[in-house]
Amino acid sequence: MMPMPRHPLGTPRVLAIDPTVRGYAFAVLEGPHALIEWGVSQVAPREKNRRCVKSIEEKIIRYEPEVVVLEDCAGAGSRRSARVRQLIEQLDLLAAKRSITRRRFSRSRIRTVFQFVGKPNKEAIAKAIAERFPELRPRLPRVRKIYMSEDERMNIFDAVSLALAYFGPKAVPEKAQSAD
Amino acid sequence: MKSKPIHTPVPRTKLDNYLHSHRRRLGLSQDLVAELLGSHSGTKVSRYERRVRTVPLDTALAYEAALGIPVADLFAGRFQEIRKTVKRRARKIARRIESLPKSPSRSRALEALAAILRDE
Repeated sequence: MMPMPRHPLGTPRVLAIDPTVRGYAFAVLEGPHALIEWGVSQVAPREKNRRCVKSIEEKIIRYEPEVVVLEDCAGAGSRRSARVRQLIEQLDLLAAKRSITRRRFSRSRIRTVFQFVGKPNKEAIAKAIAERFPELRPRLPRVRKIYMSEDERMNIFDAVSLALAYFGPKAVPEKAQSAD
Repeated sequence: MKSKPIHTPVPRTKLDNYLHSHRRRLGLSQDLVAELLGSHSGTKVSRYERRVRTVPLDTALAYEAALGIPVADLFAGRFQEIRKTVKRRARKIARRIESLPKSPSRSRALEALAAILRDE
């Protein structure tokens, strides 16, 4: 059986959140090599933001993250809706209230971090992440066709990519890097 | 807010337990783990993972056997806390023993206590 790698103390626990149409995807990492938790949470259609904030607050209580990573909607390449932008602001405030460090990364910053994959589109980034964390392989959605909506599972990979962006370019999968 | 590419390490505490992470990592369901632990349903497993129920010693050892992860790693946060307490006790005992007259048993005990305090 594959044991979870040990990690030096001093690596912060990071909670990355990526809002979706129906709720949010999240990933908890303890350093760039230890994926602690991941998933997609859906909330009831009414008052989505309020429900999301409540649910994420529960996650914060459960995982006690030292850093919360969110998308920088003001950055280039962001096509987030007004509701999602508002939710991200609310989450930022929530983390600030709990004295948790907040970091934001734009999609273009994430693409820079994952530049080694060649053409760093969502699919290529997700594939590289699935290589790094084999436990995510079953969640890897099939390649999206132009007529398909984005699979919600893709947001898990987006959340992980946000967390890896926090850890910096050195945190990218070595295997894929050497292949480049 | 400006984004920083490289994190600055900060003191970090472990989560109380990593039962959920390791189980998911291995792709096992709660019911399957319950069966491995000798329980009837996954309810107990869920309670262990959510820290609602304390894990008995036999179950903790069964977890180690089932998931292949040492108990100290499975309950890393709890272990960290207990180790801190033990170290505090060791310091207290060492201070008491140091005041005793010199003897071979005293130095052996002091050595053992020093090893506890050294342990990472």
